[in-house]
Amino acid sequence: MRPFRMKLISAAFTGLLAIATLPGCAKQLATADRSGNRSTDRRPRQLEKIPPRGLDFVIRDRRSVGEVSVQLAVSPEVSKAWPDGFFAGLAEGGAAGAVGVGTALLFPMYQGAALGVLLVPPLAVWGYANSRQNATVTKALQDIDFPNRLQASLDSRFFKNSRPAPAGDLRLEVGIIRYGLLNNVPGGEILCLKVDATIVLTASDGVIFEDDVFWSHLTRSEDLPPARCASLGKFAAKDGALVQQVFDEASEIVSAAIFRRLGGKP
Amino acid sequence: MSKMAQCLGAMVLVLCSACSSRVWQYRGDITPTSYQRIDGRIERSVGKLRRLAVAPIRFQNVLDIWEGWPTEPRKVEQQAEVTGRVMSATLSWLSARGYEAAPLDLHEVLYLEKLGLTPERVTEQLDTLVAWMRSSDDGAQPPESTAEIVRRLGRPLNVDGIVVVEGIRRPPNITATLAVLTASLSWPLVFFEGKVEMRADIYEVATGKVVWRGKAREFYGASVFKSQGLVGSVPARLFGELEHAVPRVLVEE
Repeated sequence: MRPFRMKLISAAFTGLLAIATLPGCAKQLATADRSGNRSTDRRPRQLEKIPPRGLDFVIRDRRSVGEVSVQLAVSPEVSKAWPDGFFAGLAEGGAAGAVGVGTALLFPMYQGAALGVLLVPPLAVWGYANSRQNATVTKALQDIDFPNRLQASLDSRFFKNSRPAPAGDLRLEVGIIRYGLLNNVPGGEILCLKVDATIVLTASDGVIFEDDVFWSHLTRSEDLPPARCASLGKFAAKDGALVQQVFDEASEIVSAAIFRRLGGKP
Repeated sequence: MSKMAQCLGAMVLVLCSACSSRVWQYRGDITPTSYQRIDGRIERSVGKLRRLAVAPIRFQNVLDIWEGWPTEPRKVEQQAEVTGRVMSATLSWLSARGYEAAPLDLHEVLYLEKLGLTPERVTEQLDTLVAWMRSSDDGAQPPESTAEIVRRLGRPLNVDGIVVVEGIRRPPNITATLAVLTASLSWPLVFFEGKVEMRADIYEVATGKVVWRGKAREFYGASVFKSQGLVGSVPARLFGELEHAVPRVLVEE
């Protein structure tokens, strides 16, 4: 009886190991279209005509204090205390070890316990690496200064880098409600761009145009492309180079969308 | 090493070698045809080909002993089912990357009138393209006659590129497999010996050059081919690292 039970448990552990060693295939099959943007498009409004001169910009950062940390998929608290990731990993490794030890107690088989204990170091390392990636992405996001980038891009688009003195009769206010990277599914490994903003154009006699910019992997304005998505590892690589690139492009795309909605021609 | 460890090791090796993909990308200049210029600071290469026509999927389904010997109508039905699912998955995947992708419809009257060709003649030209695709190495460029086919098929559609996807399903070599597996007592491996091999090329309509090539190989078991997962994962394997298309809002047509 005992050899049979040992074989059964060995088979279970080796099966789990086999699954763990085939992440490429398994992930490919399970997440084949996870970054697919199942978006609900929102049709933007279009202003018939606007004189491009005499326009003043106001880029308002309408995020409330602390909202950045809510919008970032990785919370700054985790990134500051990097050893937490290590200890979290250690805890997961410990849990795996406990399972092994527990199994060994139920069934007198020392291989199970040994295997469980062996899982502790790799899981701890994984937890540490994950927390480092979170920290890199969080820092890159905090360094972006998206409102300023958007301002520069709008300036260049509307005034071709030679901004005239505002006439004061028209005022474009772009309110950035939120921007950041969000998990495509709760707890998922894939992060996707998110930008929400409002556009308000006012003249001396009141608001003449008002619209929204929605951009995420779930909902987006119809004139925006699918939101960029990538894994945490890819966003974290090269000190968050991809984060910079994605938000550089996002500022160009959002400014072009605003420009066209206000009747601008390329 | 115990027999069990040997068996496990062999299984992992077979699975890893069977589930692979490889891509090649052209590094030179890419020329779009559906728009004049990009209005904004954005770096793209293949992503410049934002409007794509996807040629009818070619798929060769070699008979499989595990499904018995299907009748001719059943074979045709299976073929249509597979190509339909691959086409749908490909369009959906490209669309999620911002490409405006549409199937190249061989029965669209207006298109055929512009081309001045019958559907049969267009099919023949696509056959030529697929034959070159199968025989060429990664990095090779098509000869002038094949490049001319790309230009000719793509221009009336006002697309920047043509996507060609083809594949073959190879069942296990049953005699050799049975002999080896019986000798080694590792019968379950038979399910991983059969393969689905797919490849995809993206051609630039302006020049007829191939700018992207993806190859993928998947194992399959007795019934896994019928599942949505395998076919659905094909585009991700063929176009995995393909960059996002230039957004419409940044192009001047």
